[in-house]
Amino acid sequence: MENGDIGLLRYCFSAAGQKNQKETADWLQKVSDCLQNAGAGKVFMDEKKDEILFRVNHRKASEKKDIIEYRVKIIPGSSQLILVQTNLWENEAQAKKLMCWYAAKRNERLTHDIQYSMNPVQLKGKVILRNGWETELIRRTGEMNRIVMNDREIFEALSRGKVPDCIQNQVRQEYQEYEREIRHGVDI
Amino acid sequence: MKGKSDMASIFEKMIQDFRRKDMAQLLEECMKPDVKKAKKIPLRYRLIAIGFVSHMTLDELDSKLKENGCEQLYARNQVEATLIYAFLKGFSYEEWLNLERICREMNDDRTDMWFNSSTVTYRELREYVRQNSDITEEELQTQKVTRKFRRQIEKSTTEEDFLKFMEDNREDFCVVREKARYYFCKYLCYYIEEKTEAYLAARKSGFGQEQTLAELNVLKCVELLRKKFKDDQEIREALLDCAISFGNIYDAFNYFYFEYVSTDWMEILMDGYQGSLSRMSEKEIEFLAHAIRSYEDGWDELSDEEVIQRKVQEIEEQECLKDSQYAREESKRQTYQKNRSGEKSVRSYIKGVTDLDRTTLICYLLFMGQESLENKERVMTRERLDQILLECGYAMLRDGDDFDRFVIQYLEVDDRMGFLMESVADAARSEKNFYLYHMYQGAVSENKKLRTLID
Repeated sequence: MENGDIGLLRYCFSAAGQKNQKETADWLQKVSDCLQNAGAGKVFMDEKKDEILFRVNHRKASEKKDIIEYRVKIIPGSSQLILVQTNLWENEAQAKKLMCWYAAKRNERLTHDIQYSMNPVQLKGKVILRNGWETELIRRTGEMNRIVMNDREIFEALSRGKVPDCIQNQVRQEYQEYEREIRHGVDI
Repeated sequence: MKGKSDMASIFEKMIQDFRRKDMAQLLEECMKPDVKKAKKIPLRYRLIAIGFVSHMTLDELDSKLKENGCEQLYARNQVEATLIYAFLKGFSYEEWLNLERICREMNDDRTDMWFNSSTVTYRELREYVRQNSDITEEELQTQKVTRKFRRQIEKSTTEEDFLKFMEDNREDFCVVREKARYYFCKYLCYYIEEKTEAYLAARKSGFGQEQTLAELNVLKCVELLRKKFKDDQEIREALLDCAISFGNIYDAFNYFYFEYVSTDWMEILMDGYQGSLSRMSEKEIEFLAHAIRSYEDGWDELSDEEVIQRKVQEIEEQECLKDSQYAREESKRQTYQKNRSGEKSVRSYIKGVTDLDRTTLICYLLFMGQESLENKERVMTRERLDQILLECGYAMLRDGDDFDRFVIQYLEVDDRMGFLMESVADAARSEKNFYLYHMYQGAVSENKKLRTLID
């Protein structure tokens, strides 16, 4: 390679980057349209961050509405988008360890496409951008709504430092099982 | 029934033919890739015939069947129960035939106690599954009727004992492999339950409602769900009385494997279209247009409506051409509703008219056991599938078999859908039939088949 080639190389990189950016922007637009058509509220496209923010309202039995907020991020070059639930419980949670413990327990029951991540505890889902992705995105978001609504009370209580009885019992039971193994001796 | 004294049955002829050969020759005969012969007499029955001629014990016959990927003798089928007893006692073919005739006369008038009306409701389906399950901690465990029957047959010391067992249990015998039907219905219940919960959640949030409603179309419930309901429980209760749509189950199954709807479905939907898009819902238009685009190159730029109109025009032109070609054969002219085989097959499996062969059962279980948000134990795994196959008397998944290897890989990969799409596309690219091509070949009434052979 000679010095004269550097300009050409720079052009190639910038063209490739531009193409990538354009593709991501196109995808953002398609995803945004799909979410809006499916009934998502307040869909906001942040092209600078390559992400979309949207809301799903969840009607409770008491007719009071819960709002679940999501962030959709397109991973350039990976043909995947990641859905992250963002707003549910306090970021400065009090019973952080118990929240992680419960999230790990829940992860055991969930599929690998939807899992809780730790610190902070957030539900994350993945959708592969291929034929039929619209159906998959709507289905995945619906599944995440169901999971969040199911776990919300427990996480909210834990984040306020209140440990529900069912969690106390489960932790004690698990602790007793560890204790039992320790007492009976495990040779390492 | 044909007169046996006048004409030797196919089965009998085969036995006579086999008697002239030694064991090695017989096995060789069975394993010959003679397509004509195989079509006439399935391998399973040829092996049973060999069993008689070579005086196999029950265990020997069972292992021979298993080795060759055939279903083991099934204690809940009346004819096969007599075969089990005959092999246990070392009966000759003629002795067995005599015993089978006595049992047939004894039990001939019994009918299946399930699903006797033209429709099957979700409630009836659930009830069937519950009645055939042991319910523990709210989970449905399969009952062990077949094993119990087998033990009882093994305990029968005299023919009188055996005949008494047949008489006492006449209500519980079935013409199809009941366990396979049970698992089909059980996983169908799980599937409907999952779709119901997804719909209820979407109804509450208003997000994805149209899609979840479309996916709940395995129940004929669209009209019903337009009503107002007090709460989710009331909706769940109302859905129980909806009829199951056999055609939509087949379409969903077909769509799962091939990502496009069946031609049957498209033809039926086209028939319903009748030149007016206003009769179709937005979702139906979108779905149909998507299906058509997957067949047609270069139609991506057209709008959904244009795609449908163009396809209808093409079909009309083709119909006109056919009409002129076959003008003299009016009676043979085909209509859009001509081929409802998919729908019919699902109805037959549920109603117990057709046996679910191993391949068909596996394919449906993979489809219906693909996801469950709150019950991970309902999602199909290799271990679970092996267990079910064993319970049904089928061979477990075998690494050496092409189709089984595909199933094992599917169950073990992280991205199952990606793997499936790739496998279907690979098969299409190399102009090979996908494994599902063979699916319906084995789906027949084994009971009828066996009786045809011995009558």
